[in-house]
Amino acid sequence: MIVSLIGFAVLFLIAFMGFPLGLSMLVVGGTGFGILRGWEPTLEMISQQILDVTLNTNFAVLPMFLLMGAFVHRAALADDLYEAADAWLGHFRGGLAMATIAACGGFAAVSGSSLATAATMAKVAVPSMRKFKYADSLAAGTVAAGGTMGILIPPSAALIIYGILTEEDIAALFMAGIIPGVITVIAYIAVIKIVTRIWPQIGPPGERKDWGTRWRALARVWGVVLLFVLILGGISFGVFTPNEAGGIGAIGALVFAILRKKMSRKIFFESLLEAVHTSAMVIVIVIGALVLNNFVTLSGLPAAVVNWVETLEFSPMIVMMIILAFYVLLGTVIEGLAMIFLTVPIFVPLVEGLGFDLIWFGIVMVMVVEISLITPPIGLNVFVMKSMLPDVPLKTIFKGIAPFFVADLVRLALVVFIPALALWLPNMMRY
Amino acid sequence: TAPTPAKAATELLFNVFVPPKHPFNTGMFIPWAKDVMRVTEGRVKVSFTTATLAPPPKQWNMISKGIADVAMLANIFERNRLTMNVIGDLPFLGDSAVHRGVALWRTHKKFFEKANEYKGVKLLGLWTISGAHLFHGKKPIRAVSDLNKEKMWVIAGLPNKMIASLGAVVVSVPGVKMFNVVSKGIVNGKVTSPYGMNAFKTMPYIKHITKVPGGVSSVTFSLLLNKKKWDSMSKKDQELVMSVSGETIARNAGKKTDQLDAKALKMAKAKGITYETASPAFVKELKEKLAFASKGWVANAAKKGVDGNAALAYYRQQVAAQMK
Amino acid sequence: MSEQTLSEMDTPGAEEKGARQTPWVFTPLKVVAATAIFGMSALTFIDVLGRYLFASPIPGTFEIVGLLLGLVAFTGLPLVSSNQGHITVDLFDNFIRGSARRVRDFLVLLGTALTVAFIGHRLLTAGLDEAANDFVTEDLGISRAPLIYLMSALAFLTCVLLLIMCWRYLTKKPVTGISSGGKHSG
Ligand code: NA
Ligand code: NA
Repeated sequence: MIVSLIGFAVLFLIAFMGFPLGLSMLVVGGTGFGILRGWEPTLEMISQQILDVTLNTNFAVLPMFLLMGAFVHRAALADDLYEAADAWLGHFRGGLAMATIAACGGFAAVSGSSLATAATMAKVAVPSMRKFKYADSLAAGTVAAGGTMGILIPPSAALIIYGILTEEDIAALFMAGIIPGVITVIAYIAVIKIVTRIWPQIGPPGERKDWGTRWRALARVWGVVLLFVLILGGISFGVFTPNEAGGIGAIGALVFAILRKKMSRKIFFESLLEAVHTSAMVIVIVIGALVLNNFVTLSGLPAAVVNWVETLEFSPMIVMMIILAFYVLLGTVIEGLAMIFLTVPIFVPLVEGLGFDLIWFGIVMVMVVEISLITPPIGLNVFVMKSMLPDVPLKTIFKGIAPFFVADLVRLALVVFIPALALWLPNMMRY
Repeated sequence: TAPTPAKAATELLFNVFVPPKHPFNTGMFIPWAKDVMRVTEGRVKVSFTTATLAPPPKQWNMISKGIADVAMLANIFERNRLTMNVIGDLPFLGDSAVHRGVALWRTHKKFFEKANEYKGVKLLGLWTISGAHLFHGKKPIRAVSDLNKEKMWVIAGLPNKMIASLGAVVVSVPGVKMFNVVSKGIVNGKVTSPYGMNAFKTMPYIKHITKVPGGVSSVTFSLLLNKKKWDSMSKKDQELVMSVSGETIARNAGKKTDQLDAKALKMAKAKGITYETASPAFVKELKEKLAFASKGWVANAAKKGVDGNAALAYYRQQVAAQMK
Repeated sequence: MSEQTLSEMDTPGAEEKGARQTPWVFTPLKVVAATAIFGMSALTFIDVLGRYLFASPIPGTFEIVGLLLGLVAFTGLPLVSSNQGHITVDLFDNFIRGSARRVRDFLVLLGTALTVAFIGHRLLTAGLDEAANDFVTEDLGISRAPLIYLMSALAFLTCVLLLIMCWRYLTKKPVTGISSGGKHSG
């Protein structure tokens, strides 16, 4: 157990010094396993993990959904989504911000990445909000927070990776993200309603659109709806596996981009390479994470943590509260998927030992990862906004995020105390 | 790490992928480890992993490469390599897991060992679960025609092929998903041991049980040990380890599952689930329709230079001898 | 934070990186990589379509997709590594300046090169092992060894590229990728 604690210390040290995270985990996990078990078994174990990850059809789900995302980004869906949302919501006070949230939710339904959602929606929504004299804080905060939904609403790279690491059903995880995703959209819109009631000047109403415009705008987002329904419907009714959904999503998004005349040979090639690039990055980390996981398992640390927590005689819910508080704190400095990779080996056995459902915990974990993306000092979605709005100080963006952060805590509490919000849909699934 | 005893000790890392309360763990793994340490007077030590170092289908590779030293293998995962053990899946070979398992080990020693299927690892023992019954949620299965187009859960491999040959629509999702397919009516029945009926909380969806004498099929397992570790042990310790392995493994694992079978059947009866034994006519029909399974196995055995008919006769004889 | 942080998956900015610097070795890599990832998706798509529309799935799809994944991962590895594109959580980035930073950057490059070579070596051993044991895949009954050798070679190629970058670092020539990292400053 001591070995694993030292291992974690070394891991954090070399990773924070800038050594690639996946390779850090591979080196520390391999060395630790070697100390406990001998070098020959360790070399074999690493070979096995490399082949198990890189020649494993079940992991092909990741590149295929990444490819779908790459095509979707180029299909210029975001404009149509925003226009449709704006037609329906724009005339309310704070309506453009509400429309941004709705469009983020729609974009999240076809993209698996939070940063992509934030970056894409920023380009579309911020100029319009600025035109209508929205406060920079509200405009930037809305996009930064709205973007986080990319990994909660399926498809989601974070849920795929959690599923791979914990061997939980990716289809069930996708299903579990839907209702919490809808709750997020509602909660964020409520936040905008409240802040614009208190400070009406930060979000003036936009133009009111007539009914014809509204329906026409809505009709143009059929592609998003079709892709989402095809993928999620297909998975939930057992028509195809998540893997197959990835293939269908990727080819569907390609067809979609071609129909919208956004595809050229060059863009096609770029999209493929972008997906290869990201896949390779993530696969290296998954290999490292699994090697580290075996070291941590062998060291007996997870079992020791479970036993120790049992001696405290706290109720499982109290332990869960402590875990979540820890995650929110950790999320201030460690971002996104790194949180999942670094904490799964310890926390998942503990959470399972306490009797919690691991599908539910996947959703909870993704929600704390979402929070990490917008909390200071290091919040990736905030940095995306900053790079797109260089004239807006970081402080202003974080100020704009604060009300959404409060909403995040509320919806986290909802899902924690009412697990059915996450588990009802996957339990309805045919498989 | 614990201090090493004076004499050079062999430390065996036992990889466990079943939950701690699984009957194989409590009934066999843990007693085996205690026995090994006792008979070798601590020269061979066994420790267990708290979680698996490789997924269940990769256990063979994990042991042959020495990532862990001891592990259980569900033989179905090495179906290209291990064709002889499929004898244990054949129908009408015995009700009790103890009888089937002990007979399997004895048959292995007498007929299969020379086929050298376990090349690269040391085989410590073989075991099986009891003979499978027919379970259904809507009607009692009394004839082969009752299975026609019925959606049934069956484990993958030969059992799957056999039940499919009876006209049923077979679904072979892993055990952990069994609750889903049963509770949602994707399947209406299952072919498994009585313990298997209860193991995944599916008993509430079962209304009728048909016992086929000797079982329609079963599932077999191996306990593997890393070859290098085995070779590094003294001749004497090897003998001592085998004295508490082999048949003992089949017996211990079988005893536990037989107990759980009885418990599950008692619960089922208390809940008003009907229980009947297949009629002679039904059994005759089954024997005719499933004859291909044994024939196919005998043909496979011939490919490995094993007299399959003799082995089958010997297996039956070993089961019968235990029933006396 | 580094440019390539974890959640920065498929961001629209990523394509610019892919197109930035292109020594000749990258062209065949990119062609193979692009073909593999598209092939994997298209094959899966056609397989499902075949299954539902014509009741004839493509035999072996499941296995081929898994083999293509290996190709995607290891053609991607040199592309990612030569761009310093690995995912990092370099929390101390803003505190390491000047020559300390140069030393750090050099060590990260060298460490990455060595680790990638180690991965290549593990693959080579695994490939030899599968070949020696006549291991074949379950559905198609083919040997994976040639593919594993190729993956190993790509890992060693990555190592060579990184060592060249190390060498340039020592000789103070500009290093591809590392200075143009476009870090997000706070
Ligand atoms: Na999404
Ligand atoms: Na943060």
